[in-house]
Amino acid sequence: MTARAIRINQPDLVAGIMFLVVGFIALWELRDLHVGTLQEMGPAYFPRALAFVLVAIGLYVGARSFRGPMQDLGRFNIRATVLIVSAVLVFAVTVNRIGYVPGAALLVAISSFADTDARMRQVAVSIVCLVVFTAAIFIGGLGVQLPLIRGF
Amino acid sequence: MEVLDGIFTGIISAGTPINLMLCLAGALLGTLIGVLPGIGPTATLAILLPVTYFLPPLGALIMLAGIYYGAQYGGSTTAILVNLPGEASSVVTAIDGYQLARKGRAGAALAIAALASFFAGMVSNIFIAATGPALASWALEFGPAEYFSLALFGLMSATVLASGSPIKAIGMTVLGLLMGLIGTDVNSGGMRMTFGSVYLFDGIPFIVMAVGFFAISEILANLESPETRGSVQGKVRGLWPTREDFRRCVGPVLRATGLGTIIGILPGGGATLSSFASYALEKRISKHSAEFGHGAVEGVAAPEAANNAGAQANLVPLMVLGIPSGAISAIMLGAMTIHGIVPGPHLIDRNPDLFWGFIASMWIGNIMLLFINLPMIGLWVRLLQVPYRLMFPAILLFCCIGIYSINNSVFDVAITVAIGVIGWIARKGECSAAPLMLGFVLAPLLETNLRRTLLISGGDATAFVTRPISLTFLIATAVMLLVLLLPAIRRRREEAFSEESS
Repeated sequence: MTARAIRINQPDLVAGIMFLVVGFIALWELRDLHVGTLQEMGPAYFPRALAFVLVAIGLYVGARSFRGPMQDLGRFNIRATVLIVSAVLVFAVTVNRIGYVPGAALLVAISSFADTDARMRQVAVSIVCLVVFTAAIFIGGLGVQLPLIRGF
Repeated sequence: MEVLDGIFTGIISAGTPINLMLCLAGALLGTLIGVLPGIGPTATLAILLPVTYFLPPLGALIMLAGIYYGAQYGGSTTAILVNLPGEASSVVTAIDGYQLARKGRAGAALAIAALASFFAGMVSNIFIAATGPALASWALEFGPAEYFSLALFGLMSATVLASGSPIKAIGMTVLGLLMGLIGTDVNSGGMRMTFGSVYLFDGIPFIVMAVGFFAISEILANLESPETRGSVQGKVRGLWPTREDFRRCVGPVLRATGLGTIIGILPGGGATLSSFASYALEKRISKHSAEFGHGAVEGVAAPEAANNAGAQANLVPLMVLGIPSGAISAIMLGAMTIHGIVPGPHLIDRNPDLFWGFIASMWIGNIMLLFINLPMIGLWVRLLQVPYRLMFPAILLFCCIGIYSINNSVFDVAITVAIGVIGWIARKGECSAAPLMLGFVLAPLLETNLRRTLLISGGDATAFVTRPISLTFLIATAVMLLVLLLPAIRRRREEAFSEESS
C-alpha cells in the first residue's frame, strides 16, 4: 500500500484538486444564471465554459499525479501560515473598531512571531517604528480615513 | 517628425519639477523594496501601487515607471550579491554575477549591470517611440474579432513562457479568467460568482489580486524555506569596472539590446526570454566562453541589457494594443485602468501627453536610476543584511494599510489574505502565478469581444477565421499550443518507455 502511495506526485495532486474545487464552486455559483446561445450569450455562458475547461484540466492533472514521478510538497510551516493569516484578519477586524494604532500594533506583534527567532524587545521596537512610520505616511500624509485610536 | 514632436511634448509634460520628484521617489522606493531578498519586481510594484493612487494619472504613471526601474535594478542587486534572483528575468544574471561577487568584484558587476540596463533601456525606448504610433494606426482597424484573437494569442504566449508544466499554466490562465469575471455582468446585470456578497458586485479589485498573489503568498513561501534567504557575499569594493571590462561588454550589450527589443515586442516575450536567449547567444559566440558560469562580465552585461530592453519593448503591446503580455505589464494595465487611462490604439490620439509623457518618463527614470544607484550601492548592500524576521511584518503592514486605503474597505484586506492563501496553495502545486494574473486582467476584454463578434455575426463562429488578421493570431495561437503540448507528449512517452524497459 505504502509503495503505491509513495509514487504520487503531490504538487500535481494539489494543483488538480485546486482546479477541480474552483471549477465546481464556479459551476455551483453560476447554476441560476441564464446561459443563452452562441449568438446571444447570457451571463453564465462564458464563465460556465471556462469552469468546464477548468474541471477537465483538474481531472487530468489530478489523475496524472498518480503516475508519478514521485515528489512531495516541500517544507511546511503551519505556525507561520496560521500566524500571518490571523495577523491580517485581526488587523481587518480591529482597525475600524478600535483604531489604526492598536490594529497595526497587533498585526506586527502577531506576524512577528511567525518567525521562531522573534525576540520580545526587537518586536516592541518594530511595533513602535512601523506604526509611527505608516501612520505618518498613510494617515498623516496621504489622508487615509482611519481613526488613530477610537475613544473607549 | 510627428514622433519628434511627440517626444518633445512628452519631455515637457514629464519634466516638471513635481514629476521629476515623483520619478526620483519612485526609483528610490522601488530599489528600496526591490532590493529586499525574496521580493521580486512584480511584488514590489504590487506593494507600492497604492502609493500612486493619490496622484494625477501622469504623475502616477511616471512614479510607476520609476518604481519599476528601481525594482528591476534592486532585483539584479540581490541576484548578484546574494545569488537570489527576485524573478525569472534575473536568474541568468545571478549565474555570473554571483561568481563575480565571490571574487570580490561585486562592485564592478553591479556597475556593469546598471550601465548595461541603462543603455538598453534608453535605446529600446527610442524603438517604442518610433514604432508605437505606426502600430497604433494599424491597430485602429481591429474589430472585436481581432481583439478576441489577439487576447487569446497573448494568453497563450504567456502560458508557453511560464515555468513548469504547460497544462498547469493553462489551468492557471483559466482560473485567472474565471476570477476576472466575478461580479456584475455588464450586458445583463447578472451577478456572477459573487457568493451573494455585495462586496463582490464590482469584482475583485485588481490590487487585491496582485498583492495577494505576489506579496502575501511570497511571505508565506519565504517563511517555509529559510535557505532561500541568502547572506551577503564578501565586501563590496572597487565599484568601477576596468577598461578591459568595458571593452569586453560593448559587443554583448549591443547584441543583447537588439535581441531583447525584438523578443520583447512579441506578446509573452519580455524580460525573461530575452535574458536567457542573450546569455545563450553570448556564451556560444564569445571568445571567453569558458569563463561563462565562473564570473564572466559579459554574462552579467548581456542578460541585464536584454531583460531591460525586453521589458521595455514589452510595453509596446500594452500601450498600443491594450494587451498586457506579462505579470508586470498586467500590473501596469491595472494601475492605468484605476486612473481611468485606457491603453490601446486611441491612447496616442486622445491622450498624447500621457503616452509621450510615459515614454519620456522612462528615459528620465533610466537616467535617475543610474545617478542614484551607482553612489548608493553601499547603502543597498547594507539593507540586504536586514534579517528577514524584521522585514516581513513591515511588508505585511504596508500591504494591509495600502489595500485598505484604496476603498477604505476592511473587506478588501480580508480578501487579500484569502487570495494570498490561494496563491500559497498554487505554489505548493507548482503553478506559476503570472498566467493567472494575465487571465484575470484580460478576462473582461476577452469575453466582451467574444460576445460582440458572435452577436454581429449572428452566432456564426467562423467570423473569427474569415478575417485575415484574426485568423493570423488564431493560427499563431494554435501553433503555440502545439509547441506547448508536443514536448509534454514526448516526455510522457519517454517515461512510459523507460518504465517498460526497467
